[in-house]
Amino acid sequence: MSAPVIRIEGLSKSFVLHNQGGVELPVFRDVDLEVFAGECLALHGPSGTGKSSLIRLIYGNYLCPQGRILVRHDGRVTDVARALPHEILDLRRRTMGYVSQFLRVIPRVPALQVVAEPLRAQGIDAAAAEQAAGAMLARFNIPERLWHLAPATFSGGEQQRVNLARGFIADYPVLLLDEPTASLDKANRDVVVDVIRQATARGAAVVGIFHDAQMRDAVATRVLALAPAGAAA
Amino acid sequence: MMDGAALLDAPLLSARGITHSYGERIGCRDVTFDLWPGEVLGVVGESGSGKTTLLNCLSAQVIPSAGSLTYRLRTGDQADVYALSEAERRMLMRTDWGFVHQNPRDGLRMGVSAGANVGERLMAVGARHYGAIREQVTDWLGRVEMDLDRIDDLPSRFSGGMQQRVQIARNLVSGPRLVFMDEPTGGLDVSVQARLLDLLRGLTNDLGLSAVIVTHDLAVARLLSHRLMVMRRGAVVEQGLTDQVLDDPQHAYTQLLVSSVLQT
Repeated sequence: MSAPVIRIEGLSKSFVLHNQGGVELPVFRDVDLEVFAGECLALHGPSGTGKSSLIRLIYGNYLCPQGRILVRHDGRVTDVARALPHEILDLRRRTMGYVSQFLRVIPRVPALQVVAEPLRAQGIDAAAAEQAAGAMLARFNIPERLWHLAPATFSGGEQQRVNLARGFIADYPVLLLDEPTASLDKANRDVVVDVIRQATARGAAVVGIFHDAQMRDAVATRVLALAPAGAAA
Repeated sequence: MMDGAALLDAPLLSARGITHSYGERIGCRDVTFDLWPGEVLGVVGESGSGKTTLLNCLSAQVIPSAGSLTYRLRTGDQADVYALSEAERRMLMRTDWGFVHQNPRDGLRMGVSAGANVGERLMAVGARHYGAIREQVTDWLGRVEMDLDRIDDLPSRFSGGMQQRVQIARNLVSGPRLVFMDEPTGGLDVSVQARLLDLLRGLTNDLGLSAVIVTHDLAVARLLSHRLMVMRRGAVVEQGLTDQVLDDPQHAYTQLLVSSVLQT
């Protein structure tokens, strides 16, 4: 059996709110997890069990105070918990993609460029990147007349489809999906099912939160149930 | 002897224990960090937190009371910045560094045209051919989205946003590797600010510039910087990847700053 793409060891996380009496909110304790190439792991559990936090920890968006988050990157293993900022950015540029629930809109940047950006960051020239971006936007049913507009004025569903197009444009070995389909209709959820299956077929390791049970059944190859902090897992 | 790849993997600027006081008053205290090639470092904190003092020390406009600053030259040699002679330091500032002031009046010569402001910087690094200078000036004023028929106008006749764009062109025309910016979008209208931010973001991405940007605006920091340093009372209370510091702040002061931002 080949080595996992992601390996998490003894991961614990809590938040300390210094300006609210120093209250400590535990999220989870001692999580171990392995994710292999070609699988789609769905994180499942009631809200507050740390599903989003786990995804953000893997992406380096949340600080990991305890435990190891090992990600295979460039033929080596990088520990996200110990990596320097520029190492995490390199990991994100070439290995890890992340689709959040909402697009972070940047003023004045047109949809086509928003989607092309991950490819540009990998050194692909503007023309090729924008051509790929157009194909991805078309796949997510964003009409061509919107491609050259900044997404700030788009509807929530349109923004989320731009977000998805951006998240799936580069063939990352690792994809992290935080409720990517919350604001989508059936036709567009089907597109998401397709792109996820395509990603696992080429060997990507996918970790996702899918609120919608149908969606989860359609893409997940394994489900990890998270229990509230303090309860026995 | 380092090989090329190892060279790329070394910091461009290394600050160690930078401390500066004005008599009794502490400007900044024991600031240590490495800036990597292509990295944009944001420095945030309230006014009086020591951000600008630190920026002035890092850009060698002020020699701090204590600490060292090492800069890796194009040759790969390390320069001990505070030990350089005045002339060597000035040469470094002209050839390798840029400094964008909050107030464009501090970074421009108001008595000469926009084009001359940009061209001057090229002549300072040895350009002599008028046609070539004019061509580069035109190219750069175009890149900062200036109307080219205003190239011969005095900056004093421009709006604040236009002046700021001329100042940016003046700094980048000579191909610096490291740019310092002090509240580059401060004092501008929100719509003008958005345009300038978009411009700066594109330029730092495309040119692979390293930069240190001081701002009190967390949204500006999120948009422009890879890494963030949070200062309070002269000291760095927290530093890390920008989105990590803003989304999972560890220090009480950072938590206060982040939670104080109005949501729109």
